[in-house]
Amino acid sequence: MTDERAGGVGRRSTRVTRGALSLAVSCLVVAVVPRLVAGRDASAWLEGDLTTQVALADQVAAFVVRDEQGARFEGQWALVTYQMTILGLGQLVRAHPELRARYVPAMELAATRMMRREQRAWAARAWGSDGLLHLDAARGDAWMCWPDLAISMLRLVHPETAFARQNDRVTAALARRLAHAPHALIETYPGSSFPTDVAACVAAVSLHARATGAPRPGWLARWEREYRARWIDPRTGYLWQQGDWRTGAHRDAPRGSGTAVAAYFFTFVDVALVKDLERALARHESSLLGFGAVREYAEGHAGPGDVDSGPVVLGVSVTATGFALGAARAAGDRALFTDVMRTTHLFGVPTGRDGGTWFATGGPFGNALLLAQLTASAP
Amino acid sequence: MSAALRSLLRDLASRAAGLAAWLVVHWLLGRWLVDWDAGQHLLVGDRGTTAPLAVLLGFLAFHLATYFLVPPLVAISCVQAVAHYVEERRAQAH
Repeated sequence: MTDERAGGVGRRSTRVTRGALSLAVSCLVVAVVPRLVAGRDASAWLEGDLTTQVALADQVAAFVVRDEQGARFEGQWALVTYQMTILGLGQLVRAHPELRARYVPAMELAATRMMRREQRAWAARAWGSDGLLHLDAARGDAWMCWPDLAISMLRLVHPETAFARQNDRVTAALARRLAHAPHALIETYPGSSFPTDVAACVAAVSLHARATGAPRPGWLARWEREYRARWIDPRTGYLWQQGDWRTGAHRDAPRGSGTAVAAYFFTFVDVALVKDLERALARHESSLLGFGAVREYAEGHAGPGDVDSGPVVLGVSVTATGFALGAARAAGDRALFTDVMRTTHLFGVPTGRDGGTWFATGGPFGNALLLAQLTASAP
Repeated sequence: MSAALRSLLRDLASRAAGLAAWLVVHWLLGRWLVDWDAGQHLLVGDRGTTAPLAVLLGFLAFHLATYFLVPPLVAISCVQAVAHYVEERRAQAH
């Protein structure tokens, strides 16, 4: 009887030990394996491994060449897809001039598709007419900075581009408007102004100056002082998402999506601005098991996701997280880059395609955006 | 080599084969998703149908399981196999 009881206690003890050991091992595996697997490419991207970069760039360029479905793929998202394609390929060509012949044709084609009138129909509807036909008018049209930045990049790597004259005209109009902006802001649409869009304007002007050999515009230093003082929230480091260009009043909230996108655009302008905004993004990182994401709303603010942020899940947004990659890479923040790269790997699912890499869940938009972020560098 | 050790090695090999099979299915599904999409369905502007979203979410669920569910299950299974082997050795020693 005593032996049976002792045997029962022994078996129970063995079961408990086995269960505890299993639990400990499974916790250890969950803590170690996913972060190792998802983070395995982070160093290659951060250090600019050419094979890794070209594997994605080839696929993004191939989409532009293959895409003949203009009627289905147009509007704001298509415009940004082509813009990011041009910026990503351009960044790669700047880092590796030997790739110029390989990617410039795709960049030119992307520019042709990006500048089709249908792509900007949404902006023309908002303003009542096409902004490109009213460059001398007293209106903001800051949305034009996005495509113009891409054209400036194209021009930097391919001075003979057919878009050079248009680039001159649009950039001159944007620069004139910005130089006279009372609070470092111009309108994107009537009644709506976004500090992020103005960051794209300044990036377009800066890249244009570099492409044409023109001196850096004198008003930029004054503009930057005003922009920093008025639109970067000193408490959180985040950029205000919207503002009133006439009064300089803040609108919406300091948000991660606008901050991250602006930080990326400033990689074409000023490294100090990139680092300041990137530090704010790093401060707002949420991470679990080595997977990082960036919070959308600064502390003390809350709100839903929208077209700028993408879905906001558990307080972190797709846009803030995706664009933080470019900011972190340009600022040399290995910790943030690696954490966010693991998340990108986890949800993007990089997959082999035709000897290259394609993020399976990203579609053309996600892949173009990631190419631009993963090849971003300091100005 | 004892029978218990051979049995343990067989158990571990079967778990490794199971893991490899899962990874192969995962890889094939990823390839299928990319080929099926080929720039057609996952366009951000291509709305009006829920099928691409359902496919995407289904794939993501399978993919997340590959990262966070399968490795600990395989690890637990291996621990159990080793524990069973150790117990058998102990019993034989007694």
